[in-house]
Amino acid sequence: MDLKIELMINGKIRVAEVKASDRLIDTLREIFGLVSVKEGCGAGECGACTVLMDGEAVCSCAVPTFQADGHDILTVEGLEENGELDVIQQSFIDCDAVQCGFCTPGMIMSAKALLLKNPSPSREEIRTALAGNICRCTGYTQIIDAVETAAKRIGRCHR
Amino acid sequence: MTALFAPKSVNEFSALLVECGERKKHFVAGGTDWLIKTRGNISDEAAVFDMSKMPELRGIEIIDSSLRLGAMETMTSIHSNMAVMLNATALSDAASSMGSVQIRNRATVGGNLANASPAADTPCALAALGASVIVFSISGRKVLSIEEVLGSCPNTNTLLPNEIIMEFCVPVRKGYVSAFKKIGSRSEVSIARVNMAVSAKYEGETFSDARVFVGTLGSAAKRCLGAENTLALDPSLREQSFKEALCEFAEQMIPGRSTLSYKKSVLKALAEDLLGMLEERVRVSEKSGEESHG
Repeated sequence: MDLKIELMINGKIRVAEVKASDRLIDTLREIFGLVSVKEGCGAGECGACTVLMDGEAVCSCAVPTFQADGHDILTVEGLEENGELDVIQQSFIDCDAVQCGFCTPGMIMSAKALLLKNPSPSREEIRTALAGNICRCTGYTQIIDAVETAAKRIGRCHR
Repeated sequence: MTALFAPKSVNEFSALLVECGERKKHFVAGGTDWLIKTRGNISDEAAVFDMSKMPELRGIEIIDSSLRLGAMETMTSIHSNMAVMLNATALSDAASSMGSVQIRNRATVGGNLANASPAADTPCALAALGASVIVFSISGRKVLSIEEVLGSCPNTNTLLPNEIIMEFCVPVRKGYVSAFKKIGSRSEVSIARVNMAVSAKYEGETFSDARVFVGTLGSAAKRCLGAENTLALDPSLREQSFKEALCEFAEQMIPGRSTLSYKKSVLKALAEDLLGMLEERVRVSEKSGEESHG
């Protein structure tokens, strides 16, 4: 028996019929075509599939789709506004924080969740927030620089 | 096809349980372990219940002299709650060190116990705090200890097929301190190789009425009575005796296992750290007591 769910994805109301075994990552990629959401480990350990659920970072490979019913999901596709990249995306480009790019959407969404709650985090707070996201290329330094840069840019906008 | 239900109250849940009869049932809390365990292999005859929509399974509050925790509270909601931090510090330690931010935002305290992994963090802390588990079924409610829910088989709980964990009650006791710590293979996002939780009453520099639980020795929470007794010793003898009792306990729990020697050295390190944490918490608690009375 499928369950009909209604959820907000990147600001738009969407409906889907889901099975008990469906994972949020598969629903986002296969039904809604949101392929920024990457599958790495499939066990909630690498963070490549991170999306925001009601503003909180979650591993979409570890969320049953039926539990997304009535919730608000944000992926990288929903960050761009009026053709302009989100400040975090731009900071990742400017700080050379992208190498192969596979982990980047998850990193950006974890950074987004952090900056929504804490607009001026310390480097240690950035490290903790990104501890669930694994990158095998960059060595993390540029990624932390990018999040720090994004925070400074957001701070300047709000001054 | 697998039936999927999302009851919005415990009453609705009870009615659905009756309707499903003898079908195999999956009670899904945060789903973080369930999805990975089942990998889509769910029988067509099974019934899956989404436990996330029942308000009765939520909430953190002090009622009389107990801290009540709804089973569906997440690790994030637990470790960021001031009442938990003040009255069940070991649980706050355990919830904040479990998994990543992403997992802590979804994993629930009820699910962590029901999953019964020997490496689970919150059952060990809850057991040390003397928490009771309120179990619900259509035939009524019953109260169990953490150890009774865990039983003796790793990765299996002792709940009957139609029983669910509804909430936890942690006694709030003045003059007690608690702490939890684990060691794993990564500095963060780590599954415990060894974890341990302690709660104890303090009077000046001495401890009494201690509860010491160790995880990962075949179960998520094994009580170490020998170590509890050593905490009542004079501070000059306490640390060494505490370490020795823990090592002896590990030898009894996992005799001959290849990891025994590693676990013993980790237990000694954890013993040192936990004693330090308890002593520091006593100092903070006494200072805040002086200030509030001053």
